[in-house]
Amino acid sequence: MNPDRQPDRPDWRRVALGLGVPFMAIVPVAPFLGFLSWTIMGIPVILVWMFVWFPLTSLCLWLCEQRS
Amino acid sequence: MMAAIVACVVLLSLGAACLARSRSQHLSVETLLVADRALPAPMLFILTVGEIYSIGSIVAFPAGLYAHGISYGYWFLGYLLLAFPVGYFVGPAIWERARRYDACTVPEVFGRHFGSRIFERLTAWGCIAALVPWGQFQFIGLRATLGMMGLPGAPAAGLAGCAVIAFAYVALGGMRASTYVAFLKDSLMLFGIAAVGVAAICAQYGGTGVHVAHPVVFRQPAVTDMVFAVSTIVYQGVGFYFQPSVTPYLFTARSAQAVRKAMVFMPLYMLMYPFAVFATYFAVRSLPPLHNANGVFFHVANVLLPPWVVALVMAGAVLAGLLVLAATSLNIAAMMTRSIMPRLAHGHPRRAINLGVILFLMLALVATAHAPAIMLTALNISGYVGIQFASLWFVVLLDWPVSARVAGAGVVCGAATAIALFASGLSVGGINPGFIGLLVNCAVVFCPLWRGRRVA
Repeated sequence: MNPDRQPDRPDWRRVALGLGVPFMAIVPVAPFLGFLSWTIMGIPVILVWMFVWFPLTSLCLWLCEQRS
Repeated sequence: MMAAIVACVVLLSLGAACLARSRSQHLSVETLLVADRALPAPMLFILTVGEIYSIGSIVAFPAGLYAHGISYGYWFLGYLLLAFPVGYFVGPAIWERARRYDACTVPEVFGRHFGSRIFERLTAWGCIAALVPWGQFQFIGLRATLGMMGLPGAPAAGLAGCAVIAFAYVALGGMRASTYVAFLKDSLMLFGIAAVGVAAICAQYGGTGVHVAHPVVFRQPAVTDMVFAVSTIVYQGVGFYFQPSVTPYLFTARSAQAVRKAMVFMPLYMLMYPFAVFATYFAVRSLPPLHNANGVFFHVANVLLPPWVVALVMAGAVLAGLLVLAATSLNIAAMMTRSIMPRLAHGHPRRAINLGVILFLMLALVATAHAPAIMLTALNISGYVGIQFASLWFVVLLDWPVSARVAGAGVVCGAATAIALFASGLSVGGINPGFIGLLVNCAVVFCPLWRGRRVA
C-alpha cells in the first residue's frame, strides 16, 4: 500500500451526466412504471422505458467522453 | 441437419481460434491471460460483450420473463444497463491498477496492493469459489441446449466434446482466441434473437401496423418483488465489474481510454433484448403453456422459423456457453497456478495453466453429470459471494489505508451475512441478501477508518 499516491479527482459534472442520469431513470423512476397496466404493442410500459434508456445511456456516456 | 449446422459453426469457431493463434507472434502467459494488454476498444467491446451475454441471455432471460413476469425483466435489464455507466467510471481505474501491479489475475492485484502473499492466496480461493459455479452453469446450459437439439441420448459425450472445444480455445490463444470466437458468437446470437423476435412480431401483429391496447399478459409485480428487483439492480449494477468473473476482461485493454470507449457503446448491444421480449410475449399470448420455461425461446424459434435458422440460433447459444466456459476455466487455472500453487508452475507456467484448465473441465463435467441441483444452489450462493470483492476494489481504487486483515474480515462478514440470509430464507423487507451483505462488508472495512479519523 503506497500512502503517497493520490486518487484521481472525479469530474462531478461528468459523473452526474454519465452515471447520475441513467441511475435516476433506472432505479427511482422505473419501479413506479412497473405498477401501471399500460402497454405498448402488448409490452409493459416499464420494459419499454428500459428499452428507451439503452440508446440514451450510450448517449449520456458519449457526451461524457466528449467532455473528457 | 440441425446437429450438422451446429457442428459446422463450432468448426468455424475453432478456425477463428486458429486465426488468433496465427496472428500472435508468440504465446506467452500474458498472451493467454490478458492478450498482452493490447486489445483496442473495438476488440475489447467484442470480448466483453461476448463474455457478458452468455447462454443466459438466450435461455434465462426469456425463461425468467415467462415464468416470473415484469419484475424479472426489469431486474435483468436494469442491472446490466446500470453496470455500463459504473464500468465507464471504474473500469479505467481497474485497468490502471492491474497495469501498475503487473497483475494478470484479480488476486494478484489484491496481494500486491496489500503487500501480502497470504492475502493473495486467500482471495484466490474466494474468487475460485465464486467462479466454479459460474463455469458449471455453462455446462448445465450447454446440456439443456444439446437436449433441445435432439441429442439427449448422449449428453455425456456431447458435454465431453464441449470440454475439448473449450480447452482448444484456451490452448490455441487464450483471451485473444476468445475475442475472435466472440465475434462469431455475437453475430450468431444477434442474428438469432433478432430473427426470432421479428418472426414473433410478424406472427403477433400480422404486419398490419395497426395495434390496439393489449392487456398485460406478463405477471404483474407485487411491492416486495419490486423492492427485491431495485435492491438487486443496485447491488449487481454497482458490483458487476468488481466480480472475479468479469474484472479480468478489463485487464486485456490497450489503455484506460480503450476501456472507456468500449463502455460507451456497451448499452447499444442490449438493443437485442426487445426482440427477446417480443418472442416471450408471443409465447405467453399465443402458445400453450410450457412445462419447462427454460426452453421458451427455442420453442418460439421452432414454431416460427425454418429448421436451418433454428440451428443457427442453437449454434449461437452453444458458442456462448463454450466461450464463457473457456474464459472461466482459464481464469480459475491462472489463479491456481499463479497465486495458490506457484511452485508447481515454476519453469512451465503455460503448461501448468493448460493442465489447470483440463483439471477444472473434468471436475466440472463430473459434477454436471452427478449433482446439477446442488450446483444451481451453488450458483445462487456464488452470486452473493462474487460481488463482496467490491469492497476490496473500493480500497484499492481509493487507496484508503485499510489493512489486509480488516479488508478480508469485511469480505468474510459480507459473504457470511448474505449466505446466512439466503439459507435461512429470512426476508428483510424483500431486500436482496447480497446487498445487505455488501453493506455489512463495507461497514466492517470502512467504519474502523472513520473511527480512527475521528480519534485522530
